[in-house]
Amino acid sequence: MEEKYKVLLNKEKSVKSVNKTSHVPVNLQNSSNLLPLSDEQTVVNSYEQFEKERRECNTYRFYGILNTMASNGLYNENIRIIDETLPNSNTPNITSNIISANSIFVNDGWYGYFEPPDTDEAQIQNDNESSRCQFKTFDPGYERLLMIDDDGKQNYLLKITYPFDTRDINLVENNNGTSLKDGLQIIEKGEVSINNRKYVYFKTPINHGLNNEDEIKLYNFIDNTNNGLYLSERTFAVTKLGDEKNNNLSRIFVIDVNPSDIDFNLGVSTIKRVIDDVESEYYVRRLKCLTQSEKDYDIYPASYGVNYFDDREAGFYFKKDVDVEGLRDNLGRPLSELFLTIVKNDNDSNYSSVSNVFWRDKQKNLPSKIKNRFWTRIVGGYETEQNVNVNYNIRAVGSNYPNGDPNYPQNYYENLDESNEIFDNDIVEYNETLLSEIVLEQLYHRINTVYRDNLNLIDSNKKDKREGYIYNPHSPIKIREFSNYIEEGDTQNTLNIPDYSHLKFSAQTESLPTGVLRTRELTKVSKVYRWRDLLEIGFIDGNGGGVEYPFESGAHYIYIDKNFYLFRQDPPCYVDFTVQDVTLPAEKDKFLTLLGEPTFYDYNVEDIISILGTNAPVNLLDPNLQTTSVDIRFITYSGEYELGERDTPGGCVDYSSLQKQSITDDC
Amino acid sequence: MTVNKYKIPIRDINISGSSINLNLNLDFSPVDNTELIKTKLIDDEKEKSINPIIDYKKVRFFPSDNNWDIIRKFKINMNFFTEKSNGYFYSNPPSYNGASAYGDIGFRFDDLFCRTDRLMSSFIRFNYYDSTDSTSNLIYSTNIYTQILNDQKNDYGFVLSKNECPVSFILGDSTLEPDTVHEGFYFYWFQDLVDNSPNKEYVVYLEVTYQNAESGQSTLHYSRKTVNYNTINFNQINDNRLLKVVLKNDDGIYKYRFEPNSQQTAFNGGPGGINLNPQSGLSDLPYLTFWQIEPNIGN
Repeated sequence: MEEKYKVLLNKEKSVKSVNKTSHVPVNLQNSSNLLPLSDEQTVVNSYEQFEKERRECNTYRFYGILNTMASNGLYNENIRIIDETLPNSNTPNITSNIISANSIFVNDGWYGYFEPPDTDEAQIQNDNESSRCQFKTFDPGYERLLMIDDDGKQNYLLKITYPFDTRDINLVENNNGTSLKDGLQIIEKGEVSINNRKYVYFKTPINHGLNNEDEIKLYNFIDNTNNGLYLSERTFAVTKLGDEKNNNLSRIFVIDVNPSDIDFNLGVSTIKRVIDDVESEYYVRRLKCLTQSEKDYDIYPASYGVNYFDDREAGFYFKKDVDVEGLRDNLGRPLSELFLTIVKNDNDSNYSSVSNVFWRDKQKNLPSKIKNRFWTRIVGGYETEQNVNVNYNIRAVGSNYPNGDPNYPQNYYENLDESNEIFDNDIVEYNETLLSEIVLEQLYHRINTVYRDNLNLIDSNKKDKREGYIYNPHSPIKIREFSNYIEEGDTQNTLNIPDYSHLKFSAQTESLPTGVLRTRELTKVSKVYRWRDLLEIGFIDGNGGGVEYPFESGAHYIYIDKNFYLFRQDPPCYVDFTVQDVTLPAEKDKFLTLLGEPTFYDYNVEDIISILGTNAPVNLLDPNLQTTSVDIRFITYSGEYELGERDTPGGCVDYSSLQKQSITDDC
Repeated sequence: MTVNKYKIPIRDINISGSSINLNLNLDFSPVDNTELIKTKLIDDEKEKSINPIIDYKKVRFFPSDNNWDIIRKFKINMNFFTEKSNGYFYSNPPSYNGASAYGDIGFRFDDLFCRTDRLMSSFIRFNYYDSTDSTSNLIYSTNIYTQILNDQKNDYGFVLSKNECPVSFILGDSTLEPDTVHEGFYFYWFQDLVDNSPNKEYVVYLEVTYQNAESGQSTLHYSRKTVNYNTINFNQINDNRLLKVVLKNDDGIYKYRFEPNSQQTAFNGGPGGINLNPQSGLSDLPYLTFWQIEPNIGN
């Protein structure tokens, strides 16, 4: 207490004074100090820290192995290209020798020839090993089709892509503007009899994705019962899949309607799957590149790795990190799937290489747009039903030969190139009840060599060889997974509803969210949303859903082990003999040309003794030979589509009817 | 003490139920900093205590020539001292930028013909350091083992005699030159360090030794000949002990090249052993020639 008070009693003031009660004001003041700090200890949990860093990380690094399964069954010509350019000469002199049919060998699926023992190359190398008896492939061979070759020019370009958008296409030609957005078009109607009851089946041009008991809605069908089927007012259950013999399950479905009661309009009648009164949507996913060029990755022979056919496997890693922060897929959701996109490269060999110079010279009279290319531009499509009204049939590319029958429409994704930044991808079905996409058809790219595709223009005596290669360019990479369980929440009382959620009781009118994932704010008005949770990396739910991969150096590492198949567009499964008649000596050149055909089998001179008067050996190339007719036999192969000349059979051919030849002693 | 003052007019006195609002103010003072500690200090200190993430991602660097053009393969020549009656001499004439023979370092023809373990297990070691001073750290090394390839064989594929068989090595690109040895051809290093270096160039220094499994000796080699080993001043030639190597991110392509000093280069007739852009002469291949720095006295 700082202030002091002196209180003088009244009686001390005067005689008459008496003491009175006095009041002394007393201040009560309070001051305080903060309690002293105690020692603080806290534990940093390394696992939690790891999980935190992993959750916050959006950077991905991709590496892996590519196993290319390819062969050169579609080679340009059965020839050996020889460089006879003089030293120090600027004028190339490149010629070729025909490898006759009986010298063509198939070595681990590759067509080619064994190099003669004494070649220029062997002499240049000055040893006994180079070239001698080496197996050489016809062009295009190893050096253009495998993932790894030693000419320094990559045969394919690798990219990382993500689904960012959708598009609509017209799968079946029609005049009503009906397209994929209207549902899956119908191309065929048929009848199935079950227990003596007739059911109708319909065929779709691509996989329908239906299962037994699924509900479907029919659009633009013809009701022959004067609306007795109530087509527009009801759904139909799928009775079974496939035709009467259970063939083609993925493209034929049966409903319980008498075939005579219903008809369809080609390309106009469509179906949509219905789940809980919600119709599916059908569309094509589009991909955008996250990496652009070959600088973004490194590719190399995978040590001693070879596949079953002794072709080298390729190892690769992306030097460029892929950051997915803020990226959304075509449904406005954070990315759960990326794609490894592999695109055939036209510049797969040095421009000045012997091979390129040779083929460019052959193509010099072709239109300027194509004459300097080795490969045709890529076209994209799907493995659709074989139907003359169906577009995007990848196996029918080029099957519109003049006067051909049938001719297939040539509507495809065109002008595709390895430099593109946007690619069309698969056809998917999306149903808002399921909140998930189902892939119905994978995309394929088709390529062929310019030489083969235009052979008739190059040499009028030859037919085009319009069968090309097809491959699936886009392989999904799962980086996250959506939960199997569909969440529901009301914005009045549910926190952390993600912004990609969908309204449950009304149509979605909001535009798709973009950028970094946000959550919905609480509202006074009730709005119920549905969504699937994006499972955290490392979390595996009860059904095994979820992803787990290494997190290291501040990035997620995803290993890709992929088989890359280069298929034939239409492998010919049918084999037959054809005969061509030649008159000698007038058609001597034609005779020699035909003998050089890879499909040449044998020739014979009918009744040789009566024509030539002798059974002694006769030189058929003698210009003084008596006019003689020679029948030349060829093995011909044919497939499902009219694609011109085929030189080699598909794997489906029975080889037992063909002669086999052993390697000679020289090799 | 501040209070609110109220005036109550007399006319209101008769009105029953008058009331006056009395404020009870309470000023809080914190007793301690627990809340601050819990909500901020600990979080901040925890964050500080956690090491930043170091990016250990390595990428492959391709060797390139003086113009930063990638080379497909290069040759390494190893040159050794041999003892003669009047002293030690390089086994090849000084003007010859080639390799010594295996016979010069103690191998016999049988070793070459049979590829004995002691021959095949001998190797060159490339040690890379992060600086040239005494505090340098060894950051990367690679071994290149004995090669009996075309250079070591005659036209008929037989191995050369011990006095003709060169101690040389050819390293090549695994894709472009599949028949060559690839170990030691590439340099693998941290992408992050190179990308964040000035001009995206990161410098390391190479030291070369030869590990002879026949003699058990490890010899140091410089990319510069010692003209007279008897008067070697090690302080003077230390600059040549290490060969500068630059790693570079060249517009997305990762490359490295040897950058010899004026004593180490053989380019344009330089006195050294490094020539990445050979115009003519012994070989069309870029080559690195290294000379043993001191005789194996007592060998």
